[in-house]
Amino acid sequence: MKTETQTLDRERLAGFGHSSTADAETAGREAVRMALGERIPEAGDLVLIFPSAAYDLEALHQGAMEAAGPASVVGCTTVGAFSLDAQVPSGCVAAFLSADEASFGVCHVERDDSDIAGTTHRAAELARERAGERHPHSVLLLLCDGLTPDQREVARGAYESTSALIPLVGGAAGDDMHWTRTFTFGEGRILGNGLVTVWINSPTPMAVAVGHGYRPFGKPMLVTRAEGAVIHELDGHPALEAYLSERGAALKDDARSFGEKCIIRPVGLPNAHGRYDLRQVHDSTPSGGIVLTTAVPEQTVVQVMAGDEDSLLAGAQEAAETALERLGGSARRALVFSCCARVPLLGERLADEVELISSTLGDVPAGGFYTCGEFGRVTGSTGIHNSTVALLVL
Amino acid sequence: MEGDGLSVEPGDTRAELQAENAELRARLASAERYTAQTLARATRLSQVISVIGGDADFDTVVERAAVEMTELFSADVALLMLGHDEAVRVEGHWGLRTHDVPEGRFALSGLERLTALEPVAIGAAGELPVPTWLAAYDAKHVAWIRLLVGEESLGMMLLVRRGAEPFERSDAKELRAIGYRIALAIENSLLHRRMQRQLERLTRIQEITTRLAGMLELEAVGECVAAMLVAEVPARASRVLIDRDGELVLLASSGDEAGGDDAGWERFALETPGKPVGVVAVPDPPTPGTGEHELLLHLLGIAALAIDKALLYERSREQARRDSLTGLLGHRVFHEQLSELSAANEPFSIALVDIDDFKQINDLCGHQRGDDALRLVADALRTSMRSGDTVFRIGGEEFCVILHGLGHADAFDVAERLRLEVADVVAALPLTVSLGVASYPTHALRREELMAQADAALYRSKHAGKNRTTIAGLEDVRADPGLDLGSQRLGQLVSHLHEREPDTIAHCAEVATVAVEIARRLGLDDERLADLRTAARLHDIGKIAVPVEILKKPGALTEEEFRIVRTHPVVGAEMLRAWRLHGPARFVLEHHEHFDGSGYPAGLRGDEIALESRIIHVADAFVARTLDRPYRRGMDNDEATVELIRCGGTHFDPDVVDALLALQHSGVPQPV
Repeated sequence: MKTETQTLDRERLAGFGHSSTADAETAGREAVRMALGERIPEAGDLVLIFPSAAYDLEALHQGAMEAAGPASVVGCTTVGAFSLDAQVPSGCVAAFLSADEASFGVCHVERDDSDIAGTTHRAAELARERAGERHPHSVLLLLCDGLTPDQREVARGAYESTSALIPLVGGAAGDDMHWTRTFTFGEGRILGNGLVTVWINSPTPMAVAVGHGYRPFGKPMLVTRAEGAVIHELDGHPALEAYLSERGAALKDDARSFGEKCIIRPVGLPNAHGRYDLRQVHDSTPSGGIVLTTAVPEQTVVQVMAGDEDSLLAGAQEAAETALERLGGSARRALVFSCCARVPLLGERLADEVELISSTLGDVPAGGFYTCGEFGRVTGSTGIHNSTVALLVL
Repeated sequence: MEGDGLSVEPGDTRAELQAENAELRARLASAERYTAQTLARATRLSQVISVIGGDADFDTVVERAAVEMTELFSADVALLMLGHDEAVRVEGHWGLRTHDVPEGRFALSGLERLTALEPVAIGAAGELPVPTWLAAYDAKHVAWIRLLVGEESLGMMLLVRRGAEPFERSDAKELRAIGYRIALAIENSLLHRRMQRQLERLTRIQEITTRLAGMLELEAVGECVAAMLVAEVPARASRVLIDRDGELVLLASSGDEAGGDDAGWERFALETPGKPVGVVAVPDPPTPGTGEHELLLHLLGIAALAIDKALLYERSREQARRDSLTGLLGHRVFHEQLSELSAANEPFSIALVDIDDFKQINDLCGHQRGDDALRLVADALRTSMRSGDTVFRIGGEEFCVILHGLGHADAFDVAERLRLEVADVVAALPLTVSLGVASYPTHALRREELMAQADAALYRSKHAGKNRTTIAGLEDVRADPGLDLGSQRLGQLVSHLHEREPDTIAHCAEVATVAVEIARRLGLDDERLADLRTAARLHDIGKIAVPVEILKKPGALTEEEFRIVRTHPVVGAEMLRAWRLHGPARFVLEHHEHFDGSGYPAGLRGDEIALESRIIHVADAFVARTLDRPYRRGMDNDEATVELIRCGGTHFDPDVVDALLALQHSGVPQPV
């Protein structure tokens, strides 16, 4: 049972705000001010902003930074964001995380496409240096451009710094499902192909967990020809043809992009724990291949996956339960990185996801954004996910 | 249902159905999980093969193997440690920070026994060994996989799980198969890497061989060979020694230890087919039978050929420096050393030595006896000169001894001793020599001036009755005082002209050499040869009156400028007459007259022109045509001779040209 002290502590440590005002600067300022509430930001505190890419981002960023004062401002554009109070499909959500006894080391860099892992590794090392090493518990938070060619390389580079000891969490930016250009914020600047690393050192335990709730829908298929993130053949057949035959329904002839039409039917890669790592089918090729967001090796088994409101909410709850278990104590605040693919499936029950997570964690302040790729690794995987909800519980 | 742990009141159908539904869901979830695990396991082997089989690069193979194994077996850490168990090194890893990975080699203990029967061991950390440097990673379960190619172990792979879930028995079988595949991929990549390195090495050796093939200087070849052995074998250090008259002499060395003693060094012979060239010494050479040893032997073969060629070149060059008849150093080396000594500003003297009446020896006894006489004089000079002095044959019967560190008084004594030694030589005809001694810096500061002084002194020895020594500029010899005064002035003028026109002085010296050889061929006696030599050396002395702007003008001269240049024979002749060198004065005056009367200054023709002048004219033209000029490259000797033949009968006396031609064929006149 939540005590009054706990409630006060949680409110002191975290807050979420939002704004759907059309004026960019005002939206940024309003969202941050709401997240701050009565709190006065201090140097060392962290403010995260998750705005729509349709805003004048310079102005929004300026407004947010003014409101955040000496606190560090990081964030990225999204396809929508949320808090316990509101679902904000085209506004701006802000989160305030008080440093309290923790420390946040921030780094924001431009991605080098010829060495994505190297870029990430260097950014993670810088963030680690800036956070200092004062506390026994650490987590690396990543926010990256949603159009990063291979997000697995981001995780690989981050892993060079975190090793198996430090959990990894975060998400990839979006641009209202246009898939044209996404932006990241940090260190006072906005980058179109950027990467934000936030190294968090804390005297109290932190937990990372993932869950999705999808179940296999189609028959298992073997990747018989692949190149990077493109699967050319499944079971010796053109991959697009094989995928469509297994997804259960023909694609509707409407104006939505191929990726949007496929968003509710990701493919799953079974792992040794008996779970499925999900991958979104992002695009198709003229030669009949399908394009995923990360590389898939040949000889991998894939299955078309499906889910509904209940199963997806169950997946989110499972993630929250796992996080709580890993935390080994009471949670105080949570950042949620939920895949944008979950939005159409959750439909009217979209807001239930963050509420369920919060309540499972003990009614902690929670919020986040709808991602185009999630990072979540504690043990036994590379930490790259799609169609998944990833949690950071502090 | 109670047996399944569910609590349902009998008769409560709805509750029963709900419980059954829950049971079915749990079973379905379990079945899905089992299916996923099975599917993942079913394809792991082929996935690993697919991922690591596509690349031959060693670093990529070990890195990918570590990443894929971590992911496919839901591990947190993967390590590939290659080498013998006593000395392995981490070549690929995943899940570790680089600074946590030990550098260099370390021992893995207890694994040999563990994997003796089964190459894979799985279990809880603690039951199975975990390297102490992994303690911070809090391993819960580990899998050790020996990487075997056939019976050979390449090393070990270690997978670590930090979570509670252990590796299963079925994992072990799969890991065994994957271990074989990874070992094979590593073996292939190592082979590929060895081949790449060999290819790179071969390319480097080919480059070195090409470079060695283009090298002639012995020291450069030695240094290249020594460096090649250190870089390619590789050796810690190397020394290259060559055979000099049966004694091994250090030619070059390389490496930090090259300067130390040679205890523990092994020597290898450098041999061309059937001929020892030297030896190479290296510390701790490769073991016989290894690839490195084979490479060393191969490099030694290349080195021997290169050194042999350089030695041959050295011998050839030395031979070219020496006169083949007497074995003495030749005219070119003499002038080089004279220049070096003048530049060094240390006192020294030269003694010009000329065999008296040599023409008579040739005429009376034949050329064979003449050659014998040359050899005997050369031997006498060589054996009686001081240690450290050098004797040269600088002309037909003319020698010069450089007397290092001696002023004119001491030089005179040494020269006299040489003269007496020659006089004591037992030969078919009595052999005597006349000598002229000049000292640096007493008599002259420049090479040409010093030679002119010594030449003048020799001239006076000849005039004074031969078989004697004269010191430049001294009154005690039987010579005309005016001549001596003139000789001093002559030296001063030559010195002055050298400052203005150093090339002209060098040119005159070469003209004198060629002219004397032509004259000798034409049978002129010693006296005439002496005058000819003086005239030839001074034939352009009149240019001192020509403005230097005209002499060095790069373009064509105006008519007026030509007129001024054409005064130089007249000016030169007047200067020589003033020094009472009447004979040479005439030769200088007429050395630009043409055989057909078209020359200057008097337009003389045929025999009206002194023979010495005609000789100087031809020698002058020959030397001038073979010299490189700013505006054209010099002809070679054959081209120059053809040019002279073409002008024979018009510009030049055809008999003189014929004499030059004959000399050309016998290889005598070589401009300096």
